[in-house]
Amino acid sequence: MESNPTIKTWTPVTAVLLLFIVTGSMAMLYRLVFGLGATTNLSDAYPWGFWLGLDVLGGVAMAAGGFIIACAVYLFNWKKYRPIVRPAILTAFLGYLMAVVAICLDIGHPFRIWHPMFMWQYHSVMWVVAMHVIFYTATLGLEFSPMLFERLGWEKARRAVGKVMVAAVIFGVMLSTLHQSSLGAVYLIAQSKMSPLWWDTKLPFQFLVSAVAMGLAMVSVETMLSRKFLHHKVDKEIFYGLARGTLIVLSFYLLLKLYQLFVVSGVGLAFNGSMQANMYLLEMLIGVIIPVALLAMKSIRRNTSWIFSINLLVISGVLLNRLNVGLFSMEEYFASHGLSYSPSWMEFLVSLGIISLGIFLYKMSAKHLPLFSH
Amino acid sequence: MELKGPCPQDTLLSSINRRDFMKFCTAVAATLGLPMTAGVQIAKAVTSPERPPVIWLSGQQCTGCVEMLLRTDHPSIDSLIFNLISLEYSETLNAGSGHQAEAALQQSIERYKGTFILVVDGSIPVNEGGIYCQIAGRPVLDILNEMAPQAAAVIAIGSCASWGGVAAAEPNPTGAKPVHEILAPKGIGVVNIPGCPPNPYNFLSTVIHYLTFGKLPELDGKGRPTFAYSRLIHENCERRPHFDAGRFADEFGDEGHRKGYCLYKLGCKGPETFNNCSLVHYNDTIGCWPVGTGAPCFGCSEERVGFHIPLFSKSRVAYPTPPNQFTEAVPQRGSGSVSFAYGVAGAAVGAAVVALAKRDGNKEDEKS
Repeated sequence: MESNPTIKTWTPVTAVLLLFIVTGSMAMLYRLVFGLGATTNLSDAYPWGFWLGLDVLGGVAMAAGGFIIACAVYLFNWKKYRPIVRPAILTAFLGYLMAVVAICLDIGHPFRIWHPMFMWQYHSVMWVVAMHVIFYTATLGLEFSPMLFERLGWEKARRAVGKVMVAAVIFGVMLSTLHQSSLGAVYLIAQSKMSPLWWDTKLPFQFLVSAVAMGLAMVSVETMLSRKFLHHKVDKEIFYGLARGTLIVLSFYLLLKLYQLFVVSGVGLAFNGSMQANMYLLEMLIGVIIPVALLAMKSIRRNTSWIFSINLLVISGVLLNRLNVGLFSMEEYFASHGLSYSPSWMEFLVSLGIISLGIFLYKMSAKHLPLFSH
Repeated sequence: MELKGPCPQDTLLSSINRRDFMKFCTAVAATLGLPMTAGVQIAKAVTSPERPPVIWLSGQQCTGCVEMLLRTDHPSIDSLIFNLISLEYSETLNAGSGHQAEAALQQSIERYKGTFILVVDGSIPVNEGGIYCQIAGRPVLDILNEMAPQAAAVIAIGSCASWGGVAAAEPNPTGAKPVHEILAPKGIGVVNIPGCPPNPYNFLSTVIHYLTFGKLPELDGKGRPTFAYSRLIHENCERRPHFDAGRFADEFGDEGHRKGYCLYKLGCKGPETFNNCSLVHYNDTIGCWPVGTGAPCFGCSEERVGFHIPLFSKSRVAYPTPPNQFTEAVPQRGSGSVSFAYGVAGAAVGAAVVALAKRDGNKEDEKS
């Protein structure tokens, strides 16, 4: 097959993306040569910052759409969603690759990233996370490979992968649920630092559920965008279905968060006017309460332009949640220790570069791979 | 354990095994800076049936020095007072009391005249004939003056006995004086073991040196044994690298304090106090000494420092003089997590507004 002629490689958007990628890569190189201390505002007391919060926690949550749609299509055989399974897997694959890049840059010795594979510390949640990322990225690579083989015309390889696809999807679903929740479990150790508005023993479940909601919204948004800009023809029923899924999952998430608010932290903590309380309220409003209220109305749930807006709200809200858990929930603790952190300009550049790289690769895949053929 | 009469040696040592005993003797040799072979000599001396009689006299004191001795593990207090020395009299540890105790004291002085070691803790008040501290109805000043000439050696234990201590702090209403000032006119030398309280091993090592070699250890100009008091605390302090690198705790509980930085700016008197606290810790516990637990040294064992210089005023560092201002050793990176948080919040609100406002209002859905 040939490249998709309707997608133009050189557009103003591509130029801007490439600019961000180049500047971001330069900042990454600077970090590799001169180290974390020279590049970031992180310190021994404040070792996890913007990269972890946005690129790793946020990126991995965004990638959750991959395993949900793969599960729906390959395991439940919901044929309706077959047109979006490839974009969803590609998004997940790119999301994980970007998270891996961010983790590589964030750990002290980037070139020891392979250590957990051979030096097992199975008492550590970090080790669990590391192994999950390795396994799931490999699995996503396998799920993604048929597109590549089709493009290259390797029919044998494609059929071989097709035979193990269901097994790979089952493995991937298993890993994803474990991995999304173990990212939350990483923060269980930080009880003394985090505000009880976020810290709870049920943090892993909250991470998993919110990641599912965000994954659905993400798949919906990117499909809408590629329908508009990359000429991907899909049926509107898919969006309605995804919106219904988002509503169900978000409602459950709202119950989890309400339980936490009333039973664990106490309601007063959310309304005491502190920065943490305001961030919590904002996160809940944007990411949960407004979307649930809007989606509950059937006329809105069946209107793609409303769905698009609501999806953006959910994505912003869950990203905000990840930044809150990773950074702002510990503000009170760090302030009492005379510490504060805000990202350096190079941290912003690197994050911008990583995200731009993801979008650029998605676009290039849409042009050169059979992404939308179904 | 039996208490009557001079006991045979075998029953005396039944409470301590050989291994512990040799460890103790070697540790004493090490504290004294003696070669390890001296441990054997020490072992012979302290197992001699003729244990040295010790009389412990107390002036204006808080019992801290006796408490300190009760807290030793090598040897424990019972093996110390029953096996190593013969404690004849101590107000805190006496078995008897009242006239009985005083009669025993007189007997001991007569029996051991010229051979007993006199240990004094607490300062001696001299105002108005010393009436501010009396034992058995007599001023301790008189008791000391009467007893000291008959002793083989006089050891002043604690900062009160050595320098006057807390009782001699301004305005000193009782006229508290250290032991050596009272005995100097009589030509009686005094060993000072200052500290509040001193490390028990500094005291024990001095006593055992006397038992082993029949003479006192080398003393400095102020009567302190040089094995313990010849170096500044600052010289061997575990936090010294922080001092040299300019990393200081600026106030109690701040980041530097929590990280174990140098306590100089909090008023630590380590740089002008001669003692071995930074090397020989207390209670047989590593790290158990003021600076080790985050409390600045207040110079308890140094004359005219402890109880005289305010707790939090900076000490005089012998050399070099620190600069008035220190560069920031751990500079703050980035700024304002709060403003960053609100920046992120603003971005999120912006995204939400754009998401809700920018709908092209296509009608395609309404039909379905």
